[in-house]
Amino acid sequence: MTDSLDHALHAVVTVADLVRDGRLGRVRVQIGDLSIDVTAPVSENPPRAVESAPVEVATQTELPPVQVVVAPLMGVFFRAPAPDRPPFVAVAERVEIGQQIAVIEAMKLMNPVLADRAGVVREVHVADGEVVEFDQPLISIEPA
Amino acid sequence: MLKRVLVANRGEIAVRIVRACRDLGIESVVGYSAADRDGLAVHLADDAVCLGPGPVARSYTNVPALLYAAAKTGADALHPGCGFLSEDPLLASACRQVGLTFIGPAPEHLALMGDKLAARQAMQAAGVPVLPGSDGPVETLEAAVATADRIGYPLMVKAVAGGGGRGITVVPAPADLAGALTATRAAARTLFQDDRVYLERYVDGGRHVEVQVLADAHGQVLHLGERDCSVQRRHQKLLEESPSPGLDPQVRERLCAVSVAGARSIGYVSAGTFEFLVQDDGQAHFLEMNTRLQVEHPITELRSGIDLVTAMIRVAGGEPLPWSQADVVLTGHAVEARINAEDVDRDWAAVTGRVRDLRLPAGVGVRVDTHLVEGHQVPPFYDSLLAKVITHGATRDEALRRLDRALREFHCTGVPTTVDFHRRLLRHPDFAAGRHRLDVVAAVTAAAPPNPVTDTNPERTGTDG
Repeated sequence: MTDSLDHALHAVVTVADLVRDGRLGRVRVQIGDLSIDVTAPVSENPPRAVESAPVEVATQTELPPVQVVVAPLMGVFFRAPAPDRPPFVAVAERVEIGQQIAVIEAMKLMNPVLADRAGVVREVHVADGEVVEFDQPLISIEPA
Repeated sequence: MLKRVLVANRGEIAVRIVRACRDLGIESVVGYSAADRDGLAVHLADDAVCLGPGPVARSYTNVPALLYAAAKTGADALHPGCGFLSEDPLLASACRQVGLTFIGPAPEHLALMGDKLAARQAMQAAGVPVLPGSDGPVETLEAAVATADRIGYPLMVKAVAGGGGRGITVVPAPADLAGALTATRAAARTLFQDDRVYLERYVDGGRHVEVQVLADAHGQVLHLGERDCSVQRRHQKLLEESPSPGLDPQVRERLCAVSVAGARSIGYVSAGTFEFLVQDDGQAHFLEMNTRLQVEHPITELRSGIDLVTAMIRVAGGEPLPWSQADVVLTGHAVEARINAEDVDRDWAAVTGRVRDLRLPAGVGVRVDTHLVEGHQVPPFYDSLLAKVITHGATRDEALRRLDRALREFHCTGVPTTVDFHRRLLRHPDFAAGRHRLDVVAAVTAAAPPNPVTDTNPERTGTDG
């Protein structure tokens, strides 16, 4: 509960900044039941150059078709429940919301990674056994 | 030589450590929380790794996350900075177990000094003056009454696991002892999961004087003089200076000598600080030892010319200190004002917000340690320290004039800060004369004018918000 609140607050601050800086014209964020929709007049001036901006963001943005499930904590990423078992999901496979798609081990505790939407697995971004940081992209799901 | 340091902290101290690594030619990795993603330290470091979300328990004090972060980024050492897990023996021993060099003292020393009763006993054995107190934890009211009669009133009931002013109850008279015992025990159980308490004589007022020590693993133990931290509010230091104004040179010499002896007696390695309460009659007693880098370390650096952070890193890598005590020459006077995001007029409430219109001071004799950049968002999860404005001068007067000049140049909007408080403090007659005691903050705020310091120059100084 607190976590989703943190996420929501963080998202609101981020969205507000992006809009104010003129980098985005319209943003819609949905986290569980919470949905934020912000529209700003498109600035006359070109967007401010941002050194660390990882991607070019168009002035009119819709939700991208592919959503990425990110790591909920730091730990070791595993695609399968055990080394001799098949992976939870494979690329091109369909997943349902709430379905376990990976596991992150932190100090012998297995933390399930769940699909936060239904769809088709498009890409797995992390190698099996890799240490992942908080919020690191793990698996892309294309909503079906 | 260490090669890659994981900085397990945030804010100005993370920036400070990243810069020290750069000066040494070694790499730094900042472990940060999602709330500090855009922090200055993250941008300045060679690498960065996100430990977890904003709340400290899932990021900065999350030991597994720190160890994974070191493994992921190939760090061979960890600097804990100040606060968070810097004095937690669990992190230091976890680092030792996984072969990561902890840039700080050994876990045994963190544990010893974290146990305030064991620390008191060890220092007493080393000849460090301690206040009259109980020889062990007091278990029963009967034992407490007997011990209290020997110590005399007023006295303090102190939590064995306390420190930094937490877990202490002052007992003015015998009638208050039973209640204080129960209350302190209950508070200690909640705060520290350890309800052992002991008794110590209470002395009112006086000055808070602390001695910086620096020790290597080859038997060299140095002191770098003292700092006066008497400008405090609820045990939170606001301004520190070195040397301590008006301190008897013989008392200074004795405190420095016993601090070196105390550190040597336990085989302490790394930077550390011995805190004392000094009475007007020159009597001084050990309060506690801080087994980490102190927030106020820059004033010692300005006077000694010794970079304490690079020295800590070198010592952790096994290098001997390149100085003897005779090489440590302390010059002039240095003072540090902590600029916090706090609303002094609303009982020093911590404030969050976005820092705008930032202008930092500079010029002769001025050093600013900060993570502030234009547009910095002050997150709600952490302490409110924004910047440390540090000045150095040939005399106390010159250092204070430079501080006033620097504070006047310090400008930002978006959050209220403690800048104006410091300027009022500088004008308080007791502080200006160097005869202030631990109660000076209350005197300054009580005497506060409704509006901040007025200047002949019409330009607005300090902060808005």
